[in-house]
Amino acid sequence: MPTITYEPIQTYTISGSSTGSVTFNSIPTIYTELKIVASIGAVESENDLYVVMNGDNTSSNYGYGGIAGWQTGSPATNSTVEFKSTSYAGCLVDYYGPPALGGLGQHQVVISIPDPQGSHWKIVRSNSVNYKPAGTPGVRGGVDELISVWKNNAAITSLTITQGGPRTWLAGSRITLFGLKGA
Amino acid sequence: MPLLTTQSARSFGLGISLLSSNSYEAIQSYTLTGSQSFVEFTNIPQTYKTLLISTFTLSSSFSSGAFLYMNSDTTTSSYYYTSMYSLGSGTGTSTYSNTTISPNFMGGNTSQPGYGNFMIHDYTNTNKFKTWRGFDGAMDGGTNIYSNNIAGVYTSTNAVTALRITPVSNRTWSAGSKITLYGIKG
Repeated sequence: MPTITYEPIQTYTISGSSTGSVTFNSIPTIYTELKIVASIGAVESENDLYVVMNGDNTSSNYGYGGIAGWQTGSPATNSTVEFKSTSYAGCLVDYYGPPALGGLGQHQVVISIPDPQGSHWKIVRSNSVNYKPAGTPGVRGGVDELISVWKNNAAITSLTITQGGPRTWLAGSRITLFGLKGA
Repeated sequence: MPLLTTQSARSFGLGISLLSSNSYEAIQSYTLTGSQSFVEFTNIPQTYKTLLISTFTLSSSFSSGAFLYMNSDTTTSSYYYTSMYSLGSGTGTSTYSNTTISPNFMGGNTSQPGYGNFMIHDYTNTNKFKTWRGFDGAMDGGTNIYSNNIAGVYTSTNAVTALRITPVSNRTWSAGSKITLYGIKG
């Protein structure tokens, strides 16, 4: 059994309100798995969150599928949606991403990318939760489980996590890239 | 035994209340160097609260699923599961009595990997059945992406000491596939 270590590679802590995208460049090639852990609030209303691989913005190079649940209305009622194989300009990691509402909402996402150096298409697993305070119209909370694919055999050297819209994130939002060595 | 930290366990998507520092340990890992029809973990330590199986699988042809056997028990009626899944442009649910850990998808092809995490809770408890849950996904070799949320039960009060995972329909996994068993304390 090889020794396993789990290392933070880089962390972004958002200090203003004009950022809605961060990029991890020159990712070391020594890891057997990459993980991004993000806790994000948004300035404007929510929108999709996705990860761009190696700067590739071609939507036809990506695909996703998954399952989500959310609450709507007041009082909240439960709804679910099952995702389709639709293309985004990146690996979709959250459908209706970070909530707005002046930072009172909360959104967290964990993104896993196994074998980032392997000569195969890259698969991305994400799970995410978000919440809006009571009394807010529209979506109040949600949970997503998604699988996304980047249809490219290239090693991953950079990752950009960004929000559709475009939207921007609240100060204090935090995004960290980890690398796993070993098994 | 190599350890992961609390911070790393967080990033696996686990609730922090479950974990204390240095509570997440790799027990055994297989990295396949050739075609293989199953992997097996035996003599599993009884010192953890939960087991986690992480799978990254490649296959020469799309696999329609994989089986999980506990303690070498292949009796279909010993197992039940319920799943909710998306199939490209379609969706569905299923409930069965068998050992399937991934009812539709685990593999892809040699360029389209599958990926999954499966947790078995309280596996040493000899007073109750063993429950497990998981999430996995893969491409089908074409354009469809599959995802699967699944939960199941092994209707035995025996402590789990061995696990065997095998693709259905005599499929095999290819070189580069990686399957790891972790133990979680706390």
